[in-house]
Amino acid sequence: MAAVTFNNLKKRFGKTEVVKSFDLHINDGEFVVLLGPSGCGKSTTLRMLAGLEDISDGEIFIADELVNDLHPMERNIAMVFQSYALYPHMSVEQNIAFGLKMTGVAKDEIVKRVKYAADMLELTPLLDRKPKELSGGQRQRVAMGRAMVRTPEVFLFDEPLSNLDAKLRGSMRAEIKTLHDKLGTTTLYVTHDQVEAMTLADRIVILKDGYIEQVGTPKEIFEEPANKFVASFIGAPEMNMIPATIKKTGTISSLVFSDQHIDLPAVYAEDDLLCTLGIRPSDLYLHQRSIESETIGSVKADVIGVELLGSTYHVQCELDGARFIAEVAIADDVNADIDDKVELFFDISRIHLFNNETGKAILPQMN
Amino acid sequence: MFNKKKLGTVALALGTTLALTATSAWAKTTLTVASFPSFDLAVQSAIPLYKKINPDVEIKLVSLAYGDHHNAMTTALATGGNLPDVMGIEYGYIGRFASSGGLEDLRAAPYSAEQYEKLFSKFTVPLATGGSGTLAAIPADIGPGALFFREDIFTKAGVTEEDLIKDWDSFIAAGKKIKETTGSYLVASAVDIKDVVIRSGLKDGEGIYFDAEGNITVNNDRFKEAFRLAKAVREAGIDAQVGAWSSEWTEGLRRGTIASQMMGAWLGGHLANWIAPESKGLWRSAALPGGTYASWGGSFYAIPKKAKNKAEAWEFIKFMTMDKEMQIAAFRDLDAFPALVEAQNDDFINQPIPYLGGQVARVEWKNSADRIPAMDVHKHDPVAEQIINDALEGVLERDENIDAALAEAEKQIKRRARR
Amino acid sequence: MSSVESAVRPPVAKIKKRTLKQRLHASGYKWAPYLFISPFFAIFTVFGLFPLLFSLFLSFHYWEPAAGLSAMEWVGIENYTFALTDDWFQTSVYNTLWLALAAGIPQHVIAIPLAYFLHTSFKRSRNTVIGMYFMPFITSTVAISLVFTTLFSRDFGMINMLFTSAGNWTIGDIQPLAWLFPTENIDWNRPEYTKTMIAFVVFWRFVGWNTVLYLSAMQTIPKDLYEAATVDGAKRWQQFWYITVPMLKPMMFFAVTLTIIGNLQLFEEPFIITGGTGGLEQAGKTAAMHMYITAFVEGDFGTASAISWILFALIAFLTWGNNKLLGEKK
Repeated sequence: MAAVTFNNLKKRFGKTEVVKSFDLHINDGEFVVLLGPSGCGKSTTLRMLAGLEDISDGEIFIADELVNDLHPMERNIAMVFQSYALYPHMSVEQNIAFGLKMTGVAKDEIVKRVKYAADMLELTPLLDRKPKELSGGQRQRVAMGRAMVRTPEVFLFDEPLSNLDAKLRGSMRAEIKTLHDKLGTTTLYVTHDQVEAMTLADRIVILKDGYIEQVGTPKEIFEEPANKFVASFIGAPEMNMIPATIKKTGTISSLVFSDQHIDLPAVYAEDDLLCTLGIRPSDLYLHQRSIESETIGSVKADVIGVELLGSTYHVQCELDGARFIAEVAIADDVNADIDDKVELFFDISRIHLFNNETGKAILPQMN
Repeated sequence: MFNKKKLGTVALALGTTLALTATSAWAKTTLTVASFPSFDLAVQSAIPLYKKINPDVEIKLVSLAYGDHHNAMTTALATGGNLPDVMGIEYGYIGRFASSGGLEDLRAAPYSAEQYEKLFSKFTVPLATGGSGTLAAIPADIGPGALFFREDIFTKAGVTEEDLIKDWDSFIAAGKKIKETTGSYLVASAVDIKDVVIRSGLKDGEGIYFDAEGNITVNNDRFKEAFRLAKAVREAGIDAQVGAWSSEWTEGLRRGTIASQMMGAWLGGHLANWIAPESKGLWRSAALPGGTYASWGGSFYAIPKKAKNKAEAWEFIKFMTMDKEMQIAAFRDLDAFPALVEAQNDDFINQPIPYLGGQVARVEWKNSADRIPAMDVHKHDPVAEQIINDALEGVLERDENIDAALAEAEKQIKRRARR
Repeated sequence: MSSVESAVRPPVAKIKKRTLKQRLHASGYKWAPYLFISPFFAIFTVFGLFPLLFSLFLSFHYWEPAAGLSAMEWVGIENYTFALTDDWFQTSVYNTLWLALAAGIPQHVIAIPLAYFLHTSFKRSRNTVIGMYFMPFITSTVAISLVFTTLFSRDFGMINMLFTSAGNWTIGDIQPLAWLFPTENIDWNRPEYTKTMIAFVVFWRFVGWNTVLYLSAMQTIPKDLYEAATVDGAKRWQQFWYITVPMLKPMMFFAVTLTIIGNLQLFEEPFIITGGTGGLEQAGKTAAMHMYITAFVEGDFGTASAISWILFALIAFLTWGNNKLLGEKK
């Protein structure tokens, strides 16, 4: 087991820079998820760590050893591929044992380790089967077994669950989590699925266009998005974005949008600045009584649609052309219908303000 | 091995024979003539002349490579379809085609060709006769055998023509002398010696491998002598060990590393035209050694039974084979030695041949042609030839016993000529 | 005018409609598909089925073809027994199998690593390189055979020139390569060399074709497999051996089948190289050539047909064996 450090890592394909200045330290035993939309450079970063992709610039350390020029097998890593990359002509047992065989591990040791991995992953009855005779989840487990037997210092997962159906994805997610808890191996996990990221990660790294947007625990990422991109990328349904203007009158900051305005509990340095008010749909309520807070704000809007999603309603609203959604519980006495005017309430401490130009979060003044 | 052209390409017989069926829509008669190079040149040059005499007959020449032509004709005869009106046939196939029964009997009416048979070299007509006294084809040209040699090399080695043709022992002795003094080989291959000797001393009606009754005649003194001499030649080291028509062979003749070659008289044309044109005046022609008279190749015209325009075909064949002027023209232009005796007796044969140093060689060839026995051809000749060649190979290369090799060859031929 | 036209038009339209409907419901419409597919069956019958059955029929007859169709004579299985006990046929089958192995095995043994090399080492220029390897396959056999006959010429051939110059290469008084290379021109037409020469030409001609087959199969092997193997610590040759070769098995089956069929029917190369005779002592005579010679030189179409059916059985048997060996196991 080992810590992993990226120092100003860069990757260029010809003239296109795919990874631009990637700095990150992963602690020993930590589970870090690289999250981002496709093309953000997350897989490339992972592959550079694995040694499958040349490093254009920068350094990678595994356990304080510079691995830039090491062969993948010398880096002591194991990787689970999106397609699992199981060898179709080999049995499950041979698939799991292949890496050990290549690195010259003694035969009885191989048998022992394969047995251990197979038991842990419940693959023992399947050892003689070929990959094509396995279900998706079983293949996934074989891929993990193959990675596991080599007792690597770092586990790499490249979108390992994206080929599974939603139901299986959930249970496999749990298995990966259990496995990590048991083995405690440092893990770097690449995905574009925020649920996987939120549930699995100790820390999430959000990438966009080759840059790190934010690094933090799932809670931090969700509650304190560093910028507009992170805010809207994380959370479903997406965070509502309403154009607003931040004003400062004396020591009181207030937010003006449309013909409404709310006073803010905190004080901001900015005055008369066009900004974006971000608020998650789940933070909007139809009744003031549903919120337990000192500082309650509200916004009035036209209802343009109501959708039932089982335990919640999505109330779609419009305010001066800006559309947004309120996610309200059925239990919350839904009294809105199309063409109604509603007032939506929220806890002012849960709103986010973003600078329109930089996209960065506008934070209150410390005093 | 006596074929003029050895290289044949494999083509779909069907596609090519289809071309034969294309008949003209005119009122004129279109006469289809199927032939092969370079025999087809005679037809080509005859077309304008023939048109002057018979303006109503259109000649359509369909020419294929040697092997393809005969395969196509075999197929056409087999199926009875797509047959030409006039079929050119080479020596190697005449035996099989003549006995097949698919060709018109030209001795019968309306052709009654028996009256014309004496017009041709006596040995050719029996070749074209089928088993039951039918005449299947009319000879057009023949290939009387001759020995071509480099006179300059002979002079240098102090060897005379007489040394060469007197008898075989003298032939071998001459060869050794040439090898010692000039480094040239006397013959291309020891197999050539065998081929000449097995043709010597044949009487009319006998075949090389089979007698008139179809009995196999390879296990006899004629063959033993042929094998013995071939072996003697090989042991004397006077053969270049190259097969005819190979690139070594043509190069050897061109450079003079091969000092003589026994073949049909038409080899003179090949030497002059492409093999060794720069050796003009150095080559001479002589009779075959040991008083042998043999023929190399020869061509015939026949009319298939299913031909559409038999009368016109017969007229055309008569024009090609019995018209003295036509025969002489082919002789002059194409080195095709005429089968027509009248053409052989023409003053043309007395003309000197510049390539052969002004030698009046054609007279000699004619004398040779007169003495060639009327050999019988058998349909299994190609098989027998292959077996004999293989047997000789064993004798030459692996020192096998000649008697045993020939006895084995006889057994082989008997087995293969089972029908 | 316009009123007249309008008065006339509707009936025309009606008639048209009815004829279309009639056409759709006519019984003829049902067999239209058969009409459209009939050219295939007609051509297949004439050029495929008929010759097949006719040759089967023929194989039980004695037939001198120049004598016409009426000359056929029933002989039962004599043609088969003759062919099978005929030492010429046996020799030709031996030659064929020898050539099939000597020309066939190197084709694959070379083509697979070559394809792997092309696959991994060439990026942009790959298609050009492949094209060069593929050239012999699309070049006329006749031309190839003639070129090689010239190259293998005893006294003037390039190959002997190279060999003897290597054999006669001297340092001081010794010829260091004389043990390996000949010092005198080799007569490639000698029976002991004929097959080697033919096998080389056939090998040269088809190695590119097989390379293309294997290359196309390699391109379908997912890249991740190699990456997984890399991470698993497999070196390049280990990846080739443990990943590429097993993954090529279906293509190997296909390519080897083609080679078996092609090599057992080998005809053109030996035919041209040996001048149609099969060479001295028939050392280069293949079964297909024997069949051809039996038919067109000896004029025995019946036995030739029997030979072709024996050959067919042999090919079918070997293909079956290949299927057992390399085919998909269920």
